Formats: sequence, C-alpha cells, structure tokens
Amino acid sequence: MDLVYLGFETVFSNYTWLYCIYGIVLGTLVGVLPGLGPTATISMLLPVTYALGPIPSIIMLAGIYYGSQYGGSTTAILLNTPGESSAVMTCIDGHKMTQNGKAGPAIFAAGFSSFIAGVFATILLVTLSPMLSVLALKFGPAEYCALIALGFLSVGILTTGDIVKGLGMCFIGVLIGTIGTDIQTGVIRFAFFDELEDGISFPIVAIGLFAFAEIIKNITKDDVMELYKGTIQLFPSKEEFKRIIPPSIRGSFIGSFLGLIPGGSSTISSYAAYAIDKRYGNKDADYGEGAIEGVAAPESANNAASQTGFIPLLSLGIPENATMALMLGALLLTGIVPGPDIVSREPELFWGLAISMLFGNLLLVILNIPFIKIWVTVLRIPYNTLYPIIIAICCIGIYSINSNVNDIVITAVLGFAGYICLMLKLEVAPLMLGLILGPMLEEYFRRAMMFSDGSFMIFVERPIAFTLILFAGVLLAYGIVRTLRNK
Amino acid sequence: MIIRNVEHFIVGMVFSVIGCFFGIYGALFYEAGTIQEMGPGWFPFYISFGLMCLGFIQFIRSFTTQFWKTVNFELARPIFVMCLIIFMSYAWPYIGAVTALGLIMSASGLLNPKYELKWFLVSWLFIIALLLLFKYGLGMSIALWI
Repeated sequence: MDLVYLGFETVFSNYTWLYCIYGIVLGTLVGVLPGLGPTATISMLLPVTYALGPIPSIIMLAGIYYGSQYGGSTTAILLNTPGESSAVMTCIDGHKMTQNGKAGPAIFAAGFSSFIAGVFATILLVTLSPMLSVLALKFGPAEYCALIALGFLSVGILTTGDIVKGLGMCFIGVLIGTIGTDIQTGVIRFAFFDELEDGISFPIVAIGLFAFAEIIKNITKDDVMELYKGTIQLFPSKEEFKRIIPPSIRGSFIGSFLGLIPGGSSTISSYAAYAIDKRYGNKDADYGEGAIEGVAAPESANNAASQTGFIPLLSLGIPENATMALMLGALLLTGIVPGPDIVSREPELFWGLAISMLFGNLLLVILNIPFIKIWVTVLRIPYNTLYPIIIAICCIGIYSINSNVNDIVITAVLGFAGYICLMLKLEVAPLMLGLILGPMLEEYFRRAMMFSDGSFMIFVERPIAFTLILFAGVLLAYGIVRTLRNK
Repeated sequence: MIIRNVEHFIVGMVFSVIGCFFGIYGALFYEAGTIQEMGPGWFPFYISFGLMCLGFIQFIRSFTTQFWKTVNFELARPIFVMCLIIFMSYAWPYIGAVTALGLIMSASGLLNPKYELKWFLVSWLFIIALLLLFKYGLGMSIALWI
C-alpha cells in the first residue's frame, strides 16, 4: 500500500500530473492525425527529457503512446482512415456503425473498452514486474549479453519478418553505437569530425530516422480529408453498453498477453482480438456490418498491449516496437537503466508510471467522449500545412540539445537515409535498438569474456544465460524458416 | 545472372558497403587485442564481418528469389528537403533562427502546390513564439535575428 501511495505522491506532486495530461492530449492529437504517429512525436520530444528529468518525461512519453491508441480509433470510426496502424481493425465495424448513424456509440465503445483494458493492463504491470525483480540478483554479464542478443533477435525478426534485413539493421545500429570514445580503452573510434567524439546523440538519430524520414515520405502525399458531417450520437443504449463489456474483457486478456511478448505489438493484438471475438464471441453480433463488439474487442486489445509492453521494457530492457525502443532511449538518456531490479531501484518511476496510467486512462475517457467534436475538427488541418512546421520544430529541438547547427545537418542526412530505408522496406526500429543496446552489449560481452577467460561456455554453464540463448536459438530458427518461406 | 529482386540487391549493397567500411577502417586503425582482453577494434570488426555476411546473403537472394521486384521511389524532393535543411543550418548563425526557419518552412511548403500563404504566416508566428519561449523561457542560447 505504501508503494501505491508513493505512486500517487509522485504523480500528484511537482506538477507531474500536468505532463501526464500534456502527453495524453498530444498523443490523442497525433493519433487523430494520419501521417504523424507516436514514434515521430516521441522522437521530436526526446530533447525535452534533458530538461524535465526522468519521471515527468517518461510519464509524458507514455501518455503520448497510449493516448495515440485512443486517438487513432476516432479517424478509423468516422472517416474509415486509421490514424494508427493498430486501429485498422476498428475501421471494419466502427465505420459501418458511423454509416448506420451510430458514430457516438462506436466512439464510446472504443473509449470505454480502452479504459477497461488500460486498468486491466496497469494492474498486470504492477503485479508482474515486481515478480521479475527476484531474478535481478542472478543477472551477471553473461545473462545481460544473452538478454540483449534475445532482444536483437526478437525485434529484428518479429518487427520486420525478414531475419536478414532485421539483423542487418541491428548490426548497423551497433556499429553506429561504436562511434565515439571507447569507454574501456579511451580510444576514439570512427569519429571523423570533432562533433562525433562523444558519439552520435540518440535524439539526433531518432529525430532523423523517424521524424524527418516520415515527413519526407509523406511530403508527396495529399492528405486533405473530408470533415465528418453526420450527426454524432454520444452515448450507446443500455443494451449496447452491455454488449461492450464481454469483448472488452476478452480483448484486454489477449492484448495484455501479446503485449508481453516482444514483437507482439498492439496492431497484432487488435487483429487477434477481432478474429477471436468473431469466432468465439456473441453469435448474434453481425461482425463486419457494424457490430459494437467489433469495435470494443480490437480497441481494448491494442490499448492493453501498448501498456503491458512496458513490462518487458522496464524489467528486461526489451522494447516490443519502435516507439518502445525510443522510450528505452529516453530512459537511458535520463540515466535510468531498465532491468529486473527496476522496481526496487527506481520505485518512484515505476509506481509513478503505473498510477499515471490509471489517471491517464480515466482522463482519456473524459477527453475522448465529450470532446469528440473537437478532435473531428482537427482533421481539417491538411498534412501539407503541418509538415513545414514539424520540420521547424524538429530543427529547434535538435539545436536545443547542444546549440550546434551541425547536429541539424547530421539529422537531415539521417532523415534522408531513413527515407531510403522506408522505401527499401528496412525497418529502423532494430537499428535504434542496436544503437541503444550496442554499447551495453559490447561492455557486457567484454566482461563475460574476461570472467570466463575467453570461453563461450559461460553462456552454457549459467542456467539463466543458457535459457535465454536457447530462446534466442529458437527465435533464430523461426526467423530463418519465415524468411525462407518469403524468399 | 539476372537481378530478380532489385530491393534485395540494394539492401545487400548497403549492408556490404557499411560492413566493409567499418571492418576495414577498424582493422587498419584500431587494435583488436585478444578475446580475453579486447581492444577497441575487436567488437566492431566482428559486427562488421557479420553485416558483410548478411549483405552477401542478400546478394544471393536477389539473384535466386522467385519474386521479381523493382524499386521505384522519388529522390528529387527528398534531396531538395535535405539540402534545404543543410543549407539553412549553415546559414542559421548568420541570418538568425527566425529567418532560417521561415525560409525552411516556406521553401519546403512550396513543394506542395496546395500550401497557402496564410498557413505559412500562422506557422511562422507559432515558430517565432516557440523560439522566444526557448530563448527567454528555457534560457537557450540562440541567435534569433540577423
């Protein structure tokens, strides 16, 4: 109980709750706007973390992430345009409901089911994460090495579906991570300019590869959308309300489970929840023709997954997708190293984040339902108006890090590289993970080899390391089979 | 041999070039050491070697795949945006952030024929307000004007 109180104290002191509100409002906004996702937004805001400190920044960035899951459903329902990839399944029944004059109940179902899922996932977060802390004392360099290797493989394979491309991007990230001063020997490596002696700053790479690349990709698109002009009925009937709850609970279970698995993103969760609900859910519901269950199930699943994704992130340092990889970077930037002992090491951060999620989810229901007309109005802003201002904001953000214009130049070049990667279907999430975890992998690997006198048997003799390597092996075999099938 | 999948081929080339660069440069200029006591060159060398292997696999895939694929993407506008940002970044200390960012916004906005002057003015005012906030609110050292 003391820890829960600590969480409340963390959130409601020093105006931290204001950053939570700021995060969810911004998250809902970027979720509503197609073309500007949470990944780009979080990468743009990374420089702010230096000024805010760890707890407010992580609470704000988390708010952006789960807020965008809510916001993404609004455009899916009203305009059949998912603001986020995880809202694709919501389009099917959500937009049909709009066409049937039931836009209000559909939006209510999305908001309410997401709230149920958010609460469920938060409870899971506070229950499961402390259990992992018992493993903390058993983790040495070999275990961390194996864990990072598992993280590389899981993100490399599951986010791209192609083991060669995924691992290749991871390796490029690790190599970029070696630029700068080698901590062990003090030798400056691959630094061709003075600015690179301290390595390439993580926010610069993130803004370049995510924000700039996304802007460049979208620059040719014409995203002027038609404003929804139909009547918005706000609340569902009593009968419809009853029908929302069972698929929300099922979706929460599915999303929470898939969110725990690295690579089991909120998008996959929403697909799985919809498919399972259609197969085993209400037999009388007309899925695909505007069934309220078809909105509640995927919406609860994607929201639950986006929140339980914090469990592997905080406890094991394994991000499940690109947004989580950025969150990991933000944690490291503020001096917090994720690990199984994070609950005992950083209780304010952990419990503050958990309580902020409860607070944020409640606030999202309040924001999303009565203010739906405001969010719809936001859709009037065309993307061709937004991108020049986003470029300018990015430039200010980058400049604010070191007050150096060369950083903007590096970011522009990385933005172009990111655009080429997008065109070549090369995911940048594994690269970011490589960049973040690469220096840690090198350090732990060195230590492991020193302890074992250069013997790789250390990974076999230690049970946790061996188990993790075994998992990595299975994942590698799965990746090879999957890649060969798609050859 | 015919390149069946251009996408695989380019990816292979990217991996190989990056791998070769880091591998060769690292091997030439940094001491590798032993596995027990690694020097600064040991880790990057083996990662580069791994990347080169993956690049080689991609090359083989591009010739043997059953799925033919070409790559077609626009380069002119992305290169223009990149060069514009680079040019304005170097001009920034001389012309000030307000002018540099205004030029970036107006020039990049003109890439889209639907971009309107009123939006540019609103956006520019917003950016000026943001710059003032950064300078006077957060104490950032930044040259605002010429």
